[in-house]
Amino acid sequence: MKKSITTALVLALCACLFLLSGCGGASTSESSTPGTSASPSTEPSTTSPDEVVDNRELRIAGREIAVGLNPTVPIVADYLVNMGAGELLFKANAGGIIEPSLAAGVEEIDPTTWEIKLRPEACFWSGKPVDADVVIDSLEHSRETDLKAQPFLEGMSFSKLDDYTIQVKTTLEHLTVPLNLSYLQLVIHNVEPPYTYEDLNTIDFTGMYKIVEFVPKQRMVFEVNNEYWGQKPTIERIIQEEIGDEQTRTLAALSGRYHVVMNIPASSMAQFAGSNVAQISAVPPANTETIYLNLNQPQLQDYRVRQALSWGLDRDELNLLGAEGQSTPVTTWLGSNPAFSEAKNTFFKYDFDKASALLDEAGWTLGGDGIRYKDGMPLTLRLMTWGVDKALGEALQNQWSKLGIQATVQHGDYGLIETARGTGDWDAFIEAWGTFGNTASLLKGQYSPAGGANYGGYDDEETNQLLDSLSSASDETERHELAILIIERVAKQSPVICVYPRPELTAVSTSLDGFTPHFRQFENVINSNLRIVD
Amino acid sequence: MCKTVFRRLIGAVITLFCATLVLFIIIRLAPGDPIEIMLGRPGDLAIKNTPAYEARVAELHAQLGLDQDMLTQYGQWLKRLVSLELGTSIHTGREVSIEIAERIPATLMLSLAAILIQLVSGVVFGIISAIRAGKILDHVIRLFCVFFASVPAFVIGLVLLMFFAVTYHIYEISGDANIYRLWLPAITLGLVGAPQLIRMVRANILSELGQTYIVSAISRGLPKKQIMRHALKNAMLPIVTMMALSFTNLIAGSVVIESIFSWPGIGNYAMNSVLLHDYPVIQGYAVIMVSVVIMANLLVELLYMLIDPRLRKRSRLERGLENE
Repeated sequence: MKKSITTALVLALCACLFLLSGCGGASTSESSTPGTSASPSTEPSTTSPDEVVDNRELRIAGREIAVGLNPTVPIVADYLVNMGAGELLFKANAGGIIEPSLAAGVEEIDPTTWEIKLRPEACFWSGKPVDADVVIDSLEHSRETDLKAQPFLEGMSFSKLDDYTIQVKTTLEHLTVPLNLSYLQLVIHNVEPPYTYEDLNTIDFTGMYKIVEFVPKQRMVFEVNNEYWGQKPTIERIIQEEIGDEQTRTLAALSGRYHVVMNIPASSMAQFAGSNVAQISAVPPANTETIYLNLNQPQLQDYRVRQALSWGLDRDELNLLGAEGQSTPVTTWLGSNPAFSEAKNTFFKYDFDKASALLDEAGWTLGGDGIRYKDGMPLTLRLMTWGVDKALGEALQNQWSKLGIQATVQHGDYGLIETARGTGDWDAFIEAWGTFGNTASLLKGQYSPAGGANYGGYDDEETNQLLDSLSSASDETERHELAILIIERVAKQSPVICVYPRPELTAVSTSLDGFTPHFRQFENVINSNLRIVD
Repeated sequence: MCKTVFRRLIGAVITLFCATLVLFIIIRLAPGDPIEIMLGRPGDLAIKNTPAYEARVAELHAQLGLDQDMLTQYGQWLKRLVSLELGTSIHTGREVSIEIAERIPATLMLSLAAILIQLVSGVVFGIISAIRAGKILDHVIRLFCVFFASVPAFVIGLVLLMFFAVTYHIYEISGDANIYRLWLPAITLGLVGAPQLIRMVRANILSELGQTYIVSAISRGLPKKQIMRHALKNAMLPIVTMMALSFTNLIAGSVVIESIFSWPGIGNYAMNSVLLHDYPVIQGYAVIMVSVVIMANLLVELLYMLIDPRLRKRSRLERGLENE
C-alpha cells in the first residue's frame, strides 16, 4: 500500500510539474510591426519567458485603456493624448498655464478674433501636412459628432487665412480660445477618407508614437513616429495594458515589470514606503470630491442645515481616513484649480460648535439618544458613494453622527446613484468633477438651474445673475473676480459640500527618468524626455 | 439511449428558452441606463440635461432598439439568437460573439488547467486520506482542506502574487493569456476547489470500504490494490458530477481570479460589462453560460450511463417494458 501512495504522490507531482512548466522569469516581449491589425492576445500564446524586456520598451499599466480608436468617442482621446499618440493644439503645463502644442502660437487680434499659427513641419502619420484645412475639418468633425467637445467649441467659428494660419471668430469677447482648444476631446485627427477610426488601418494622428497594436480593453502597443515634428523620444516602444484590480496594479508596480502604473489606490501607499522598485507620484489633481445635496429633501431645504453639514467636517481627518493623507482639504469647488488656489480654504474651517449652533438655530434639537429632532422627526441623511469613496463615506458618516445627524452610507454601483437621481429618492452622493477649464462653463454646469451637474436643483437668483455676468465678462481679471464672487455666494447657500481633490496616485519605477508629475497626470504620462536607466 | 438523449435535448431547449426570458427581465431590472452610463461618465464638463445630450441619448436608444417596449426587444433578441447572432457591444461597438470568442480560449485554458489540478490533487489526496484515515497524514490533509476551503480565493491569489511576482520575480503580472502565466491562477483555482473534492473522495472511499462486497473481497483474500480499485470505481460517480459542475463554475465564475491575475478571460469581461450595463454582452455571456451548464449536465448524465452499468441496465429494462 505504501508503494501505491508513493506512486500516487509521484503522479500528482508530475501533473503539477506539467503546469508549473511555465514558471520562470516570465517577461514577455511581443513583436509587432507597424500597421499590424488588432490581434487579440487572449489567444493562448507561446511567448518565451527567456525574451527579456527591451531596455527601450516602456511598460505602462492603468485601471482601463481605450475601448476604441475614435477620438470623438468619450474618453478615447484621454488615452491617445496620454500615450503621446494624439495631440491637441494647446496643452496645460504642470503649472496650469496653457501653452501651444501642435499649434506654433496664438494671438488675440481683437476681442472676438484670434489667429492660430500652425507648424509647417508637422505631419500626420500618413505624411499629410497638418495645415489649416485639415485642422478646421478635425475641429468641425468633433463639433458634429462629439457631445463632450461641443461646449468647448460653442461660440467659435474657424476659417483659413493661409495654409498654416487659422482665424477664430468668437461670439463672446475675450473667449478663452487656447484654453478651450486644450480640451482632451479636441485631438487633431485627419478626417479625410479613408480615415474612419474604426481600426488600425483607418486612423491618422500626429503624435510622437504610432499605435501598432490594439486589443480593446486589454492592450495598446505604440512605436515611435520617426517623422515626428518635435523632439523625438528615446524610448522606441510603449506597451500599455489594462489591469482592472487595484491590488494587482499595486503588486504590478512593486514587481518592477511596469515603469508607470496609474490609478494606484490610496490604501496601497504604505506598500511603497521604502520600496527601491517604484515610488508614488501624487500631485493634487484639478478635481474636487463634492457631496451633492438634494435640495428638494425637507431637511436639506434650510441653508443652515447645509452649512452645518460643512462646518461640522474635519477635512484633515477626512483626508487621512478617506485618502490616506494624499490630498489636501478644499472647502470650495474651484479650490482644486491651480488658478483659484487662494479660494482653496476660504470657508468652512472645521468648527463643531458653529455647526451645532446652526442646527439648533434651524430647530433641530439634540435628543437624549444623541440624535437631533424637529417636530418629532429625526435629522437623517443618506449618503450614496461609489468607486473609491467608500472609506470617505464612512468617515463622513462618523463625523456627522457626532453632530447628532442620523447618517447612513450606501456604497454601490454608480448606476444606483443615477437611478436615485432619476427618481429623486436621494439625500446626498459624492462625485468628483474636473475643475480645470473654462470657468464660466464649469460653474454654469455646476450651479445654473440647467447645469448638467446641478443635481440637487440649486436655483439661486443672485448666483444666476453672477453666472450670466461671468459668461459675458470680457476681461480675465473680471472673470476671476466674478468666479470668486460666485464661490462666495455658493458657499453661503451650500448646495454642495467640498472635501478635497480626489487623489490620483501614479507609481513610477525608479528606473524611469524624466517622468513629470502633473495635476492632469491622466494626459501627461508620456513625454519625449523619458528614459529607462539601469 | 437515443430516445433518452433526445428527451434530454428537448428539456435542454425548453430550459434555455426559460433562461433567456428570466435573464432578459433580470438584466433590464438593474438600475441605470447603459447609454447614459456610456455618455455621462463624470469628466471635465457637465454635458447632461442639454438638448444635444438628450438628442444623442435618444438617437443611440433608437439605434440600439432600446426605445422599443420590452416584449419587442425580447422578441428581436430571440430572433437574433436563433440565427446565432449575439448583437453588438454598446461600449466597444464590436460584435459580442467576436469579443466572447476572443476571450473563451483564455478561460478554457485556465479552467482546464485548474480542473486538472483539482482532479489530480482531489483524487490523490482523497485516496491517501481515506487509506490513512485517522493517522497523521490524514489529519494534515484535512487541515489543508479546511484552510483552503475557508480562505477566500482573492486572498490566496494576492498572497501568491505577492510571493511569486513581487518577492521572487518568477511570475509576470500582465494582461496576456499565455502558457507562462497560466500556472499561478491555475494553482490558485486548484487550491480553492480541491478541498471539496478531497473530502468527497475520502468520504466516498471510506463509505465504499465499509460495504459488504469489500468485506467479502477481503475475506476471499483479494490483494489490497484490487480491493481499492473496486472501491474507487464505485466512488467515481459523484466525482464525475462534481467535476462537471466545478468545470462549469470555473468557466462562468472565475471572475475574481481572472480579475486578480489580470487574466483576459470571459469572467473578467462579463464583470466589466455588468458594471457598464452593456446589455448585449451580458445577455450573450449569460446565454452561453446557461448553454454550457445545460450541456455539461447532459454530458454528465450520458457519462453516468456509460460508467454505471446499473443505469444502462435500467435504461434497457425501460425500453423492454415499452416494447412489451
